[in-house]
Amino acid sequence: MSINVGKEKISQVLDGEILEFDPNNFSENFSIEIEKLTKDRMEFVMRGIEAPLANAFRRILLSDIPTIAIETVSIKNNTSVIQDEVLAHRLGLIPINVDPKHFKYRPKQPLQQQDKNNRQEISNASEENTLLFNLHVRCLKKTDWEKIKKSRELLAQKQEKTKEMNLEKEDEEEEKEKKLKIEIEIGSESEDEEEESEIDERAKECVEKMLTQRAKTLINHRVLSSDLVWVPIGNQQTTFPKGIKPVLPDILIAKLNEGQEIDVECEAVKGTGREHAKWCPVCTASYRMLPSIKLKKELTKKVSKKLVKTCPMKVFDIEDGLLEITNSRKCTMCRECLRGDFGVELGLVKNQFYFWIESTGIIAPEELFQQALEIFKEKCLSLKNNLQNFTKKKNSNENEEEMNFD
Amino acid sequence: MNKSKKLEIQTKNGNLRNATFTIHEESHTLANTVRYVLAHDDDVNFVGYSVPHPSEFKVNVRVQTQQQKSSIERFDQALESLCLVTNSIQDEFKNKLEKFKEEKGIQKEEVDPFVISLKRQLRKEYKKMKAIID
Repeated sequence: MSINVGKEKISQVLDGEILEFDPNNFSENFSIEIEKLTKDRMEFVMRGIEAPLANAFRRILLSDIPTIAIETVSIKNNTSVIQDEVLAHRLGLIPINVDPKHFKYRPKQPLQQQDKNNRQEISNASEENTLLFNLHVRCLKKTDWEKIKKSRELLAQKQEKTKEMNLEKEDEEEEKEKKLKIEIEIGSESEDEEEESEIDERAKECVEKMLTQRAKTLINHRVLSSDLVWVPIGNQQTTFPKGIKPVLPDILIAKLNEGQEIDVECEAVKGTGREHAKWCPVCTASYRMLPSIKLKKELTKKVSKKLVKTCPMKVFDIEDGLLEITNSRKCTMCRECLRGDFGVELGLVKNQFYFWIESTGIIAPEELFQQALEIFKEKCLSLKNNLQNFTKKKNSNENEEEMNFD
Repeated sequence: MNKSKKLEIQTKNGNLRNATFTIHEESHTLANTVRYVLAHDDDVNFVGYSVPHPSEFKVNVRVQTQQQKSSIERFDQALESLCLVTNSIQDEFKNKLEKFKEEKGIQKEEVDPFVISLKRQLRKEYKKMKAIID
């Protein structure tokens, strides 16, 4: 006895035709059109594919593509207002601009390997699976900083200079700010025309007002992602000669007041979005189905004008006296056109997907999609191998009911 | 260290026509796709999948076949089709990407270099203003 579930019930129906899936003829009906491609964002249309496949790719983009993010934060000193755990959480979310292909996953630390006598944990960290970052920022008053600078210069004349990283940074920032201020002053003086000098003065006033009290008197009162300094271990200096930085330099990590300090050592590790969202390589990857709009009946001129007005996205237009659908792509499915008696049939085309991938900047969006396809194939192939092993085993043990295997 | 199990197959009395595949370390990503492919298979009477509990990372896929066909063989065939399909998607994407990049390259050359340098200057000044505000 055979039970046949009618195909209409399981397949999608498009325009009265059942959407078939034929792997051999797939490429005939399948097409991709890339609409937009920038370094962060890709938008493209896939036709001839159905929701389960498109959704599989979207899910893989979100959860299965590996990246590198800060996982362990050793806090040596944190006198800021931001709590330790909040600071560590924020550091983890900073995207780090490095290709994860160079790294392996760090194996999870099983408890048995900890040496109880030594109290120190034997870590699995190595140059193959970890990146070290240092963050050391101290906030000082500018006047105090100048005093410190002078005394340091005196010392340096007597002894060898051992520059601390934070002082170098503070120094650089100080110089930058000084340069900028000089530039503004020079700019206003060298203008000949009256109008331009007026505009410059006004601009100067605006800037002065906008400068907060803190910015005027303190250095380093904002801790930015550019303050994260990469510390190469082992071979890493040769593998990454240009250095490793976060994707964006101006991500605000914390704000400091005078006398507060953050001194922290971070370890970055490879992981996937499935474990924590910080490892997700996309801001988001999403798709929508393209709308299908049909006019079922003929409308008078008056009514068609009304229809053109009701659509907020201006999908309809009157050309040569006839009502036409000009911008069907812009339709947001708001259903305004269904409210009046216009005879509009609104639907979604079940096999056309408008995909967009917004990358965080670590991996280019076109590469992300290709990696997602590759990962999907790997999943299918590894499952296939498991099945084949199963059939081999089955042929040797024919009496067992339930079979488990690796 | 023990490798974790990937796949378990449960059948009644070893009859391979109807089987439940329990796949570990998988989720809707693969299971829904395999179900979709098997649903369009003429030899398959029934196919469905479930995630027994969202905290457990595994899926159950149930396949029931017609007459004397083996469900394992059908499952295997479905995975094969998925690989073929992914290959054709990959090829199509590569081709279209190359075409798009070529067109884009041509567009870039047409832009005036003076305009590009002006834009760069404006960007620098904007950054300076931002730094001052901070």
